[in-house]
Amino acid sequence: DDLDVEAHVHYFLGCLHGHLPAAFASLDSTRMTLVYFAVSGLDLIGALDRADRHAVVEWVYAQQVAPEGAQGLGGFRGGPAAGLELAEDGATPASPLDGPHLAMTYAALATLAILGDGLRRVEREAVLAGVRALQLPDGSFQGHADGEADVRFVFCAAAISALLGDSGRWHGLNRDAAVGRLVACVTYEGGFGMAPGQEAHGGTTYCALAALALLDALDALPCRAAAVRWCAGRQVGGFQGRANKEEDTCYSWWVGASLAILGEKRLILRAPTAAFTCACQYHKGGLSKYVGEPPDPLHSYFAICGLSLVGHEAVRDVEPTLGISARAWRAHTRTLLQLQADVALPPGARCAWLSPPSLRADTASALEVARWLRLALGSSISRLCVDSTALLTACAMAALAGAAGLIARGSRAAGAQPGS
Amino acid sequence: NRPRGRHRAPATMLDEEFADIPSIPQEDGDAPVVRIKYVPEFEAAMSKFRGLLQLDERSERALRLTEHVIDLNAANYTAWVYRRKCLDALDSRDLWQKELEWCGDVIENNQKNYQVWFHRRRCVERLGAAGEAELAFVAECLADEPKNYHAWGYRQWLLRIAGLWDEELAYTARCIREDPFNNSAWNQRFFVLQETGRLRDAGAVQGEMDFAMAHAAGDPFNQSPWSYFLGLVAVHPSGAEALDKAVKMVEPVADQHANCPQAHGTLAELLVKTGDVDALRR
Repeated sequence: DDLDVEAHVHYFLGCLHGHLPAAFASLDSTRMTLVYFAVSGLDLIGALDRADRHAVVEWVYAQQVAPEGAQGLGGFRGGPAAGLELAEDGATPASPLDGPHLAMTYAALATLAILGDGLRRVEREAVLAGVRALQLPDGSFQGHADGEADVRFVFCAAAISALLGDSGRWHGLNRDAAVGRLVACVTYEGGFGMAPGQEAHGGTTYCALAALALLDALDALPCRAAAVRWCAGRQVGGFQGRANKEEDTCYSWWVGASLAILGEKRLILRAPTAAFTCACQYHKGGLSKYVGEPPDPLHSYFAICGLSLVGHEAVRDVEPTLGISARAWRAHTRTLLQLQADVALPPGARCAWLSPPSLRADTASALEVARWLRLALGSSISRLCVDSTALLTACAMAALAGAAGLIARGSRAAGAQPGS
Repeated sequence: NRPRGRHRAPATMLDEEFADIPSIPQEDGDAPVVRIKYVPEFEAAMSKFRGLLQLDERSERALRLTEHVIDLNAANYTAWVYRRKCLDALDSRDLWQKELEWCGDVIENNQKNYQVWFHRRRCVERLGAAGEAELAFVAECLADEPKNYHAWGYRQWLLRIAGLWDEELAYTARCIREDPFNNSAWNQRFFVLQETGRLRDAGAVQGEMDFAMAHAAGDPFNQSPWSYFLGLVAVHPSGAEALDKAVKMVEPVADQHANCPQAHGTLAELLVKTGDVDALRR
């Protein structure tokens, strides 16, 4: 199960800073996803510093839709393909047809989070309004105005909310409607389909489970055991996306991460996953969906994510609910606290901060968590709504790391009772 | 590849008809990333397309231009949205009808494209065309690609609004006969039982369990009938009584195929539900 890391670094850098061949014109409207695959891919194999961070950040922000021309609905587009002629002052004119797309907004925010951008230029409230405007009465989301609605975009809405620190406040979505819609998509097989009645599918199952986790609604799942059984049953060597279909490397992520979210990561068999994925490597870099096919950015990225889940030495940990490295998510939560400290809250408002869904129990992270807790408790937000389980875990870890003093000081500064 | 534009001659951006539409080059910034090496024809078409968007012209020539753009990149969702705006503005039933036919051509060359299948739904809605002819169209697509997820999704959408349930069980039976491993067909069968309320009829559910077991016994390594069987047990109107009967149906097949994980996995699931720990251990 050898991973040719340098070849894949070369591949991702080529996608990012080279020229993709003409056949990629079919991805012209969704270039933002290519940015995300390359940047997150480089991050996972330890080569993020080899990307031109400034160029990426500038290009990403250039795709943000200006809310003034869009009825206050913001977000990011996939690229400049539908953009109009620039004004004399260089401003991009807004056009209702050059609007935001939920998957592109997710990809943009994930990319910015990975690169440690402070999100200062993100029109946070406009983006959330843009997300909300795309939710339908049945709880599902369209990807863009006058587009198809399905489970993929419920995930995008939930992930965007998490990346903007809006989990708990939920300005971007009607949580109950979204949860209801997701639960309606469970099939008799135990997985999730794209719409109620449709066949259980690996990609949709991931989107649904990740969304439920981000919406703090995993307990709404009617039968967790059935979902676990369906996911586990998809490993036939590599993973298949549906019963009786071929193995495909990207499902090692979609289905594998689903198992991780369900708390059953141990059911992913390492040897066959790694064997299948590594057999799909192209000698010049990149990975394909199955053996003998040419590589593409999507499969290259998700194949590597799948290897992360089985603990491959060459790949960093991924946060399963968000599709960014655990490192990036931890760093990003600090960014969110900074952002929230700056957001003017109406009196009596609750501001939720999202705890990192997976805290690693080792000393280095515990110290990081303790420092971060101090920042949270010492911030200007008068009332914090926290995930109590995560808070307890974090305190315990910090105590183990001998950093309990930081917490006590921080709590007193915020007027909270350390003992409570 | 079928010839493009069944009813119209293919457009090129050099055509006189588009001469007054400005060509707007793409604004990709000073240091773009994920650049694509577009061929000149693509760049020309997209530049004219941006010009068209700037004019916001909703006309028949806009339809010809966007048809060309979609031919070059069927995933350009802006082009599809713009087409619908043009068609709504022109408000011609004849144009929507032609659109439906052209849509069929695009689907043939792009079976797994989200935008075209969604567009077809809009055409069918505008025309009130949800009926036998549309079911036949999807059946043709599925004959080529029996597991096409978009096609099955479209078919389910169609059945719900057309209410043409009578022949669907027979259709799924044909699909299953052709390929018992086609999990999409099994899913469709369950969908029909659900939507028509047959799952509330103990006799019908039992009949379906017999149908599933016949296939499972025929090739126990096929996951589909086992999942279908378990799905039926879970919603059986007779509850616990059905569970015991289900165990008795599965046991002989499991006994006959000691190395079959699908059979034994199913039996284990059932025994977990009955709480018979001893049998589970065995």
